[in-house]
Amino acid sequence: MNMSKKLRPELWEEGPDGPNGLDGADGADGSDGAYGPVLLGVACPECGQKHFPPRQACPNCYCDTLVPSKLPGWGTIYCSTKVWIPSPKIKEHPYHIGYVNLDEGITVPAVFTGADEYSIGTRVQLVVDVLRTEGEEDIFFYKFRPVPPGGESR
Amino acid sequence: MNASVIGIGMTAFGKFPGLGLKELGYQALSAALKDAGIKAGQIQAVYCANALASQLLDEFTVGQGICWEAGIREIPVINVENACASGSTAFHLACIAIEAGLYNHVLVLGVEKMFVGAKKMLTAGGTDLETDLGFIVPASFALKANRYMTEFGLTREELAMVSVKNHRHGTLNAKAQYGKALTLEEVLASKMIVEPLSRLDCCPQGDGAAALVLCHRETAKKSVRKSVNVASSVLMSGSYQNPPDLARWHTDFRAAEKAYVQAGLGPEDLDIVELHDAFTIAEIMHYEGLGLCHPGEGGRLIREGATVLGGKIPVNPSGGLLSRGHPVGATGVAQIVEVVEQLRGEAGERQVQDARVGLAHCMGGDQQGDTKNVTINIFTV
Repeated sequence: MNMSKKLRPELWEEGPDGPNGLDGADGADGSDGAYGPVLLGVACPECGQKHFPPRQACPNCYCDTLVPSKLPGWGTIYCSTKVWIPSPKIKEHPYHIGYVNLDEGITVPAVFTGADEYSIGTRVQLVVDVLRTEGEEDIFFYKFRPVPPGGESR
Repeated sequence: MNASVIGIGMTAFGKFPGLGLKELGYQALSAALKDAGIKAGQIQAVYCANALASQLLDEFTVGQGICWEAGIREIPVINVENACASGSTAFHLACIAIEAGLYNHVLVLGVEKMFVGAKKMLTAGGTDLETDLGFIVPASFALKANRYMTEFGLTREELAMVSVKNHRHGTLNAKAQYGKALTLEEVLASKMIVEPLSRLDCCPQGDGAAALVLCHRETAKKSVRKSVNVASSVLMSGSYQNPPDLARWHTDFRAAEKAYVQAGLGPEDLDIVELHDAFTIAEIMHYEGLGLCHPGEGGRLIREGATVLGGKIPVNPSGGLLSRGHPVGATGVAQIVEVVEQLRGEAGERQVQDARVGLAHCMGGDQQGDTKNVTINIFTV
């Protein structure tokens, strides 16, 4: 069995509901107190705007005392593309990437998994998955996958 | 503005295994000085653009190295890095220096050496989140294409037409990296890189250098060459809007408005445009950003032939990044070399008739779906 490593763990965490957010019998949306993976963003205490990845100051109001904010990873695909050549970070290709409009009103970059195509408007959820393998080590990172039928309990 | 361009020089762009940064840079510098009819000793400041030497060649302070070759010493030499807009940023700084009345003659250099043995994939930034997620440079443009095509119905063929047009222009430019015309079928059949962009929708890497001699407008009147005046020079960082609008390049809109106001001119006054066609979709979006057409009409503009040589507003007569090539630090300077040649009426077979107003547009870097820099420089004779 491969060793595993979390890439940039300051940006995401696995919730108590496990890496795909559906391990709990109910309440994948956190209604039972459990939740799936979340992105670790920041929120502006002055204007309320959330940001991911975290930054030092809010570009709307220049407030520089932003506070940590967990972003539940539900959203829709804003755009996507299929990369046919290896990148320095992802050798296995083709792979799919794009931007996701989170329900919290911000857009985040994403690698997609779990389907053959990812069209604009598709509902997606945050999962934790192997981004790449380095020797014997599986490198885990956040990804987004289409919400399976009935998978969204809200 | 008070700056004028009185000298231009550039190397051919391409793959030159026998030429290093200093040789390339010196060739362009020397050609620009000869063109301006001045000696190296008359240069009072140098702005040298280079984006990649520290990454690819372990080199830095490139400008001083090239100036050493030319005997230029005891003056300010400033090295400028602003990704693909490094050259146009160096030019912007030189314009400010002239505007401030500090110097009589200023040299702008742009130089890059990208063919250095093992090919290295370039990314937007080593520690950026997008880089970790596999967002290689063409991917950010492919994502814009995905949004733009969905919102405005642009077709794959219209995208490919940009490459066909610019490669056709490149056949008229002896300094272009690619001297060969391409058919629509060849572009469409080329290897898929990042959907919907194929190999021939993407500009190549290259080696090359370009140089300009600037001086005050009053000094320029005594120049041996027909001088070209700088009507406006704008440099702006990205807007990084979130949520983004990837089908409209708002950073372009903002920079263009500022440049037109500063020049007292509008898009309808332009006779020739050199813009940053790193990828075919970029040229379509920059048509709109620069006000050559309304948002969503870029596909129609290329389809109707408005931007080809002989059309209503020729874009990238040099061949653009797609055909002339893209030695990153040199590109922004080479674009201005082309505009100056056109406004002097010295562009030979690719001359735009009676060109009196030209615009050079450049962009550099990626941040959160936006560019990190845009430059717009407008020129008049």
